[in-house]
Amino acid sequence: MRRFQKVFVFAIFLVISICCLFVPVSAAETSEAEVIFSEIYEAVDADTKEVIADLGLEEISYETLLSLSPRAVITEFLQILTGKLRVPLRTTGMLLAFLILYAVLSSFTQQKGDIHTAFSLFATLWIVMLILPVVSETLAAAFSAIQLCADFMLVYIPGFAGVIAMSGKPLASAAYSSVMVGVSNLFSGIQVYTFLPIVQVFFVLNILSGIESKFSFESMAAFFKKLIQITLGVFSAIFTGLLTIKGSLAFSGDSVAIKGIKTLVGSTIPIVGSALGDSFTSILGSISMIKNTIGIFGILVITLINLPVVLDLLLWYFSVSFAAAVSGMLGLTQMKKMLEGISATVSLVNVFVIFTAFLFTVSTGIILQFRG
Amino acid sequence: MIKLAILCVISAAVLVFLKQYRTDFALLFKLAVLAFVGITVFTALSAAISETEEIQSLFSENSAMVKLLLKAIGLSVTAQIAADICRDCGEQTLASAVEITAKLSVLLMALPAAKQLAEISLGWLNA
Repeated sequence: MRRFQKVFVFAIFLVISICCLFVPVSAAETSEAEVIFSEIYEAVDADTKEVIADLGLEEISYETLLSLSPRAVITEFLQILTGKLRVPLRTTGMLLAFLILYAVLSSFTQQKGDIHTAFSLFATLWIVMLILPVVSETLAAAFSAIQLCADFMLVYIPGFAGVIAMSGKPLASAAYSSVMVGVSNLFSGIQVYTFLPIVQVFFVLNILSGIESKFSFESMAAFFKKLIQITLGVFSAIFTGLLTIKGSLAFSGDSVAIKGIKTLVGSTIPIVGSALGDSFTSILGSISMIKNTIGIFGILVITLINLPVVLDLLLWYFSVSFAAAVSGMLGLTQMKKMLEGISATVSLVNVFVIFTAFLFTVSTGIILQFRG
Repeated sequence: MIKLAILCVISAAVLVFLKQYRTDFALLFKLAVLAFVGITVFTALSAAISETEEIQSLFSENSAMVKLLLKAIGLSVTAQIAADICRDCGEQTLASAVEITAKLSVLLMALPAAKQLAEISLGWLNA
């Protein structure tokens, strides 16, 4: 009997020891999460770090994100907007003044004469050079923002996937990182080898159609715009569908595994089994909070990288479109064509920037909305 | 303005008679009337020159472009009048020469802008 009791106690001790191997060591993983936090924070560019600091988020933590006030967000948004407003408004004002001057002066020449054509070309070239260099810089800044997003995601995706795995969802982590890495690489390739060349050709064609009224590239430009919009729409539908399906299945698998472990611990370990199961759940819950914090921070960074550029492009789109409308009113058809072409290019690039931000934001949001 | 218009109409009527009898005098008379109209217009415009200087100052750093635009329009109008006079005299070739010279001059003034545009376009295509 005594021997039987000794064997029984030893067996219970052995089972408890084996079950404890399944319980994650939260202290080690919390410090690993801090390493991931700092790596992700270092991957953010300097300008975005300044905006993050202005919002009062000097460190990534649940408390700082929860304490983010709407007032701080609106103040920062208005600050960015007023900062971007000055140059487009001033340039457009100057452009409108020159358009009116040109319209008045061109009335002195015979409308159908060769000299009038030469004077029109001269005025179109000079007036467009008021706006073209500044718009080109804005478009270049937009492409830099897309590249900054891509560089940030290169660091963010492995970090976030690691935290998802730590929160007891290894299948979801594998699904997220496989889809996101594949999409990021594909997207970079599309941007560099397809989209950028199309925008370059689109831009130059629009300028040429404004200079030489014999050639009309408007239909070709409209075709390119439609092609890009449809391609981006199809791509986003495929991507979100794939991530939702894979994420849903992976999370279901992970949930079954977690419940299985809880059941095993609860049924094999007497007396303290259910308490151990509950503590396992609460540890996973705390790591899940870390996962949500990193996820929200990632969404915030992507938004802050793209927001100034999107605002800038929108302001330029409205300014140049207005100038094109005024040119049409004054009967300056060549000028109108060229300005409409420039605003179409700005709009196209803006669509691509918003799509990039949408892609990365929605993918993170899909993962965050699944509950284990 | 009304006096100038009445003068031009009366001159046109006189020219119709002169062309029937002495076409060389008709040309000289035409040039004299044009010179008189030009001098009257420039005298009237001199009052407006101070206004255009004020307009130029409004454009601040782009005032050079305003000067260029005004120069180009002056060139265009002058060339147009000269070409029309040559056509009236039956000299189509001279009229074409005046127009081509004017077009070239205006396009030469647009050359720096065209160069900048080409640089931006090539910069985009090579990016």
